[in-house]
Amino acid sequence: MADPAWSRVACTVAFPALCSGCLSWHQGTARPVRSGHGALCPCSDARLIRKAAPPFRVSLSWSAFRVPLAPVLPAGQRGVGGVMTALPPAPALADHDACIQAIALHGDREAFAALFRHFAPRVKAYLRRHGAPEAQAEELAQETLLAVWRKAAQFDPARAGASTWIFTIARNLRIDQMRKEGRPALDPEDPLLVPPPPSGADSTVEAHEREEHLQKGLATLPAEQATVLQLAFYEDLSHTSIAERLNLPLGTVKSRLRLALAKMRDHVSKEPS
Amino acid sequence: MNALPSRPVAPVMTHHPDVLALTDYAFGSLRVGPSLVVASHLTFCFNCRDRVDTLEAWGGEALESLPPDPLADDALDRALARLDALPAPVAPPALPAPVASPAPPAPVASPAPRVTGEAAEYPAPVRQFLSPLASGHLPWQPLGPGIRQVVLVKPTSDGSCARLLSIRPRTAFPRHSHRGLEYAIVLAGGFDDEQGRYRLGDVAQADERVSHRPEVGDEPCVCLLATTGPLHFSSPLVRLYASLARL
Repeated sequence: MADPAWSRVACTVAFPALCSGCLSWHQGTARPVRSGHGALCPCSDARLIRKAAPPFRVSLSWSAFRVPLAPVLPAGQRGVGGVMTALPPAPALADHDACIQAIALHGDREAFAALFRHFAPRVKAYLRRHGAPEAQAEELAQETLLAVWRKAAQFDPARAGASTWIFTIARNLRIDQMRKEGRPALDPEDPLLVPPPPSGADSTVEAHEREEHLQKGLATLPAEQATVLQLAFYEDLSHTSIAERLNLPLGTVKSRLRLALAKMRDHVSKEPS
Repeated sequence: MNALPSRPVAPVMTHHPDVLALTDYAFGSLRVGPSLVVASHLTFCFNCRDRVDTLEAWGGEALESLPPDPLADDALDRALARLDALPAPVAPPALPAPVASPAPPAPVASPAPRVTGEAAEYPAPVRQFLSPLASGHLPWQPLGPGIRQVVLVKPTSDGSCARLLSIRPRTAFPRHSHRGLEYAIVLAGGFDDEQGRYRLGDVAQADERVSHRPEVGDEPCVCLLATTGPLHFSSPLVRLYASLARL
């Protein structure tokens, strides 16, 4: 930021955007990138990633991020700079959200069957990769979908999409199965919970955008990093076991895991050349 | 350099769990002790709650991208049969409304065990591990001069455990290094060490490379300490003591 005048120019991010540095969502005031294509996170100075939108899904080339800013105002009029306009809304995903809501509203068995057909085999695959024997994986997949039925009324599509919600249910059932001590979990009703600031920067993001965005990030990981992430995630291997499995030093495994996350950020935080 | 208009500042943690810990937590692969530290931190830190949400969304996407592993042919039929045994997901609108008494609000599905007394000062994940232990006063055990502990997760053979530590003002925890990972979160007061100042909700992570001597300031400090390996104290005397106290 060699130019002091530039550093005082602000712009407004009109929609929640993922920060590539701190992995949280921002909306509101930010600093524009010098080229005028995008904005920087106010807390980490890393680039804000646009929310998922059609061009983003087609390709992760830089053109996807070239979002024209309104002309940047001179320093001195800061705080009212360019406004990034939102792109057209993303097309609907397969409507699993609606299925869960149908279960909550009127115990819709058709909707349950649709969810079961789609998710049960995937949950089973997930559990199998974590080393669950065939019969147990099958049973836990059933339990997971039954829990979806029971808890449907708690599903909040603004907080998490269907696949994320079902993933967390399956994950929790898996941990419960493994652990006798219990599973430490955040309690959103905890009186001690510190709420986010009332408005502005850290707004909650729409689940679909987050998920579509991450899907793309996952697909772009180099194979070696994806492998480490998959082992840590699907097969529940400790970092040490991954190191043994891949015949790599522990430090390499850890750094690859770090890189796997950093890669996604890097991907979008480089200045277009 | 940053002359942006300032925005409202909520209590901001300066020390967060690292991204690996958050990832393992979100993916369900973090051990129980460290999970306890992370879950407690989330109570105080909305930023990390967002990060975990993001990582869980990642998990959801990964679930979608897995090749399905077909279930038995009759799996759906069995699931549907089991649904019959379950109550409807929501109470269907009471059709012939029993006109009379407005029913008292239904009790919440799983009322958390009510924790009172000292335990109520700690975040829910900690209370969850305390509740079988005590209500009222916690069963603090002396651990050394000015230091008391409550064990939350018993030490396993590999030295992995979680405990609450209460440390008197102006007391230092003896210098130590680590044989595994150490995760500590401040639940009251605070401490300083070579890495920085830690206050309510801050998480200190240390590994084999770190040797430190946390010092408590003018207020008593309570922290939750989770380790995945034994601590190694620099002083032989403390080492002997620690081996007796199984620290």
